[in-house]
Amino acid sequence: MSKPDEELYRRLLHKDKDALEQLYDKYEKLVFSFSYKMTNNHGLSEEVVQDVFMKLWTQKGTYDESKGKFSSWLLTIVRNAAIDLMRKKKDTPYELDERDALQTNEPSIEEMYESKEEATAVRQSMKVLKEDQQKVIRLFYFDAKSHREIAEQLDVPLGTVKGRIRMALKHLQTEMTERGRGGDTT
Amino acid sequence: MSDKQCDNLIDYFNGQLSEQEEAQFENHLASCESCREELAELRELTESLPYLSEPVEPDSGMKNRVLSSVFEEEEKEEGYDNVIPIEEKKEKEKPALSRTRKRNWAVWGLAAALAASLVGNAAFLNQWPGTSTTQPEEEVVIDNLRQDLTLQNPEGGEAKGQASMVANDGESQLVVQAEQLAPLSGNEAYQVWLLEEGDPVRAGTFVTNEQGSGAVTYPMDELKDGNWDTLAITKEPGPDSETPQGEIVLAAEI
Repeated sequence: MSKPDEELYRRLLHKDKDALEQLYDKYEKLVFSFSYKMTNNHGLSEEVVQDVFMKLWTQKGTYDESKGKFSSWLLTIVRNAAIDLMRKKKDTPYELDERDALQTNEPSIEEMYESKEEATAVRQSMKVLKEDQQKVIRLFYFDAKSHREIAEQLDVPLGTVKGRIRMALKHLQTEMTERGRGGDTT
Repeated sequence: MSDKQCDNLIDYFNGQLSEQEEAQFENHLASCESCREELAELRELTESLPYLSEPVEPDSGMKNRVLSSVFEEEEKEEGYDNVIPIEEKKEKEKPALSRTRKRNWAVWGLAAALAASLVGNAAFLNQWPGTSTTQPEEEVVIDNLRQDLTLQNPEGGEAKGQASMVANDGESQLVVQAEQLAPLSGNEAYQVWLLEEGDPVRAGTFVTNEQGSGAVTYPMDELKDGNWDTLAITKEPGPDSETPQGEIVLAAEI
């Protein structure tokens, strides 16, 4: 078993290369896949990974254990780095959209990630959501569109966007909670 | 403060604001509880979403490429540990501060990591990294900490703080951090001033968090060139004081 993230992070602060490598091994797959989900581009995704681990190594002391899980903090950095790079490289041609192809019936996808239960719960819950709520989440979270763009793409008034995002996310959370209680994580 | 700012929450979360808009929104966040709550809720509700990403294989050798360049960067950075005059960078910088710098904004080259972490901490509202901390490393590395002042209460006391000038590609920012400040009530705010022979100019406003810590960054380009001799922080009845109304809680000679 690998060491808890928090301990590895503390070792990072003392410039322990081995700790960074352990964190890298643990999160490479998730960080890369999440970056790819956002950028839809292999090259950019690798840049995101590079950015994120550079930040871990150099910007010490930013993660605060009392504020939540290390992985959540890390993923926030990943998302912000991806948004940043996408903005800077707006002209990068998108690769052929492989997402749909990959999405179909990949066996035990959750095995790829450390947090299997969380991965299973969120994937199953997402499927329960209606198409339009899935779209809200995709536009807002993964595409990181502007408030205005989201309104345009959903064809709804600007003033209702926040509410729709919140409703979709709340719905997803309710589904996840129920799943958690049901104990069915297969 | 205004409902209009509250409408920027989504764009803030999604990194769609310009630097200036982002700074304005962060100021707004400091005083708008409902936006803070909404932001925290968004973060919480999106926590598991990355796990929706379908696994994708990176190109082979990524680990090697990433880790070696991270550790290489570190070697380069160690060079900054020595005190290096950054006069050679002068031609790249706007002249706004050159006069003052000749006086006493002493020139220290410091570890880029330190400058970066100061800037990072300035987004104190965001214990989670806000988009403001996502500037790519190459920018961070050319940040130079040009002055580092330790702020104290002239009358003594627990409160302390730090002020730094960070220059990045010609843009100068004043970064002020303070902690163990007395709690604010109502509309009160802490105001940073730069003084030249007792003549104050506003240089940033902030409010404190529950722990009494606060921070603000202020673009120096907005200030006229001045021979600042003192930096002071006062507690003001409101965020808009044009001249100091309250007592000085922290100060340092420049």
